[in-house]
Amino acid sequence: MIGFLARRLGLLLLVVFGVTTVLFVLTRLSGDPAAIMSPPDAGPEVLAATRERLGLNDPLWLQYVNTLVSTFTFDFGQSFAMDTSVSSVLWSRLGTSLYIIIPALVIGPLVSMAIGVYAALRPTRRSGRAVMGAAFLTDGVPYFLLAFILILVFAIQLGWLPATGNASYAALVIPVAVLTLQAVSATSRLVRGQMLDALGQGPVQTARSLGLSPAVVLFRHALPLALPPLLAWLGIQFSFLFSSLLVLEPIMNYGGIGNLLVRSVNQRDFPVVQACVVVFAVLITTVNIALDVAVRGLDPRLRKAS
Amino acid sequence: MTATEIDSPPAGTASAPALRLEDVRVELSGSSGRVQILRGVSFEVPRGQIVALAGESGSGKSTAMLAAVRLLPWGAGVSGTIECQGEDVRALSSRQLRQFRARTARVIFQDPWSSLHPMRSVGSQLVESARSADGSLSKAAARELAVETLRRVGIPDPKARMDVYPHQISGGQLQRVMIAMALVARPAVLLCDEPTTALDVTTQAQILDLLRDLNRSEGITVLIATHDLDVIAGIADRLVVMYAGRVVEDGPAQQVLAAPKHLYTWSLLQAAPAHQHESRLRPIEGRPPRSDENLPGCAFAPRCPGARDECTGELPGLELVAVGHRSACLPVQQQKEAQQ
Repeated sequence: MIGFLARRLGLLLLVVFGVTTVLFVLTRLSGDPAAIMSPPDAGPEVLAATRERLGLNDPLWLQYVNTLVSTFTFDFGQSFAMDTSVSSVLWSRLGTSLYIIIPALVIGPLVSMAIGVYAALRPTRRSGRAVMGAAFLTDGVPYFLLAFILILVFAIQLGWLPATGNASYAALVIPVAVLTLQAVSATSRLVRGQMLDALGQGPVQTARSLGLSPAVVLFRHALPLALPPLLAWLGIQFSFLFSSLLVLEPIMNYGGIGNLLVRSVNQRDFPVVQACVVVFAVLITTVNIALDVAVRGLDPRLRKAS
Repeated sequence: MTATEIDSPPAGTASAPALRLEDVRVELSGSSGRVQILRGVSFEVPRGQIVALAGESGSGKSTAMLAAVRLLPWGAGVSGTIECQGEDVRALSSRQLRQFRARTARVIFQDPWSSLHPMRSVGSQLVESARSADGSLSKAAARELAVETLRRVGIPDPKARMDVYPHQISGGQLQRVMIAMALVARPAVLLCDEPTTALDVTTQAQILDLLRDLNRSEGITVLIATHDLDVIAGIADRLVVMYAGRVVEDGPAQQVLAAPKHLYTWSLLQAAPAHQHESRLRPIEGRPPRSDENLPGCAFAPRCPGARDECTGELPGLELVAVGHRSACLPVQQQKEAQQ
């Protein structure tokens, strides 16, 4: 187990290194921050001074080393565009995003589980098929379109919820609903498939033959068989969630980390872009490692190997 | 008077059979619509005996066994009478059915690797099985019973084996664990669906010996489905031979093996090394009918070396051809009539 964790930790460092390197190359190819930050009529000497101030006149290898050092010390310095340190804006925006991430992460899997299991127990009945049909249709609608539909209905037509912003708890409802629906539509169909498969397996037939109650057969025997692939899927879903924030937060004018990243890219605010992407990479990799550990805890057959 | 009337005293009396199937028909949904798996199966398993249910794959022996505990796949259509230990199995409510499965009739499946739960320890599965049968059993008492039962089925160092996971022990030991899982419930009937097919020959013999010992010492009634006549020749009291969803012969095991009264059984023995004294084995030509084929006569007639014209025309019933020995073979029945 120690060796397993050490290897995964090494993988995490490798991912962070790779992400930082790719990002360095892409940002340096993306244009001159000084030109974007300065007024259109600024003279060449103004641009040169700005470049000097931002450290963009250093040789590229030195900039790369500085970038790596800042990533691994988690100290990203000053923002190019804002008059503040990167870490203070990073943590406050991440905190704002967590208000929609955490509810979506709790509600999404629970609802998917409930719907998927319900449908798996009624594979041929109309109710089970109707639920899956609805999930399929929702899955076909892009989540940003879903956001517009919800805003149109609940904010503009009915006036129940604010259309944009993050000023009140009511403003959280639509973004959380969008992220949850997006996760549920795909995950519930996977849950149904996995449960249907598990219910047909030998150990479940054995459990039935012991005269155990349907609930015990379902939750203590079938569910553990279905769970490992679902946990792996949850890891993938977690990275989808962060990529959705990049579109959802700007269109809803939600002041979270997704919005911050998009704006920083537009402004060529390299330190903030780097900080956001590194945080994304660390979070996504850590969650996937945690899920790996959970699967190993669940299935004794995996513990001996590796 | 038909054989069933002679052989079956009214249900509920002390001598009622442990398991009785009468005219049981089972339909399953296949890819090509509904298919008949059992086409009117009748047989009995007398209390305290070992009965072998023999037949090729697809003959319906597993289906008959699973029907007896209502473990058929969802959507199966069942008709006929199924009685076990005096209970009408098909009429049980879901609560009664759970009690029946927990205490009265336990099943041993073919493949122990895929029958035990891979993510739970052997001990926890045994304890769960024991407490399903007897809700008043404490966890500690159930554990004790489990260890004792593991020892009884011949697992060495049973205490240590309780904490082991199924993938850590051999197939033979796993099948012993499956048997122990049934025994902790002290069932009246043990239904074994090809219990040794997945095991090597030496282990097969050991598992069968174990089943015979349990039958002798505890009086547990055992029904074993098998496609291998050699396997059960030594331990079965009675032999029920199935072909294409019907019982074709049913009699005392030694008598059926020594003097089969159905040409299918006879052909089967000709094809088996242990029963064939000539130098060459004679395989049965052709193949069994598919489950969606409906033949008007005897289903074996197209492959039968002694088939007559009548065989393909009408379906022969199971008739008594010797004491306690029934056969659904027209030539055999006609021969017997001619002698009388």
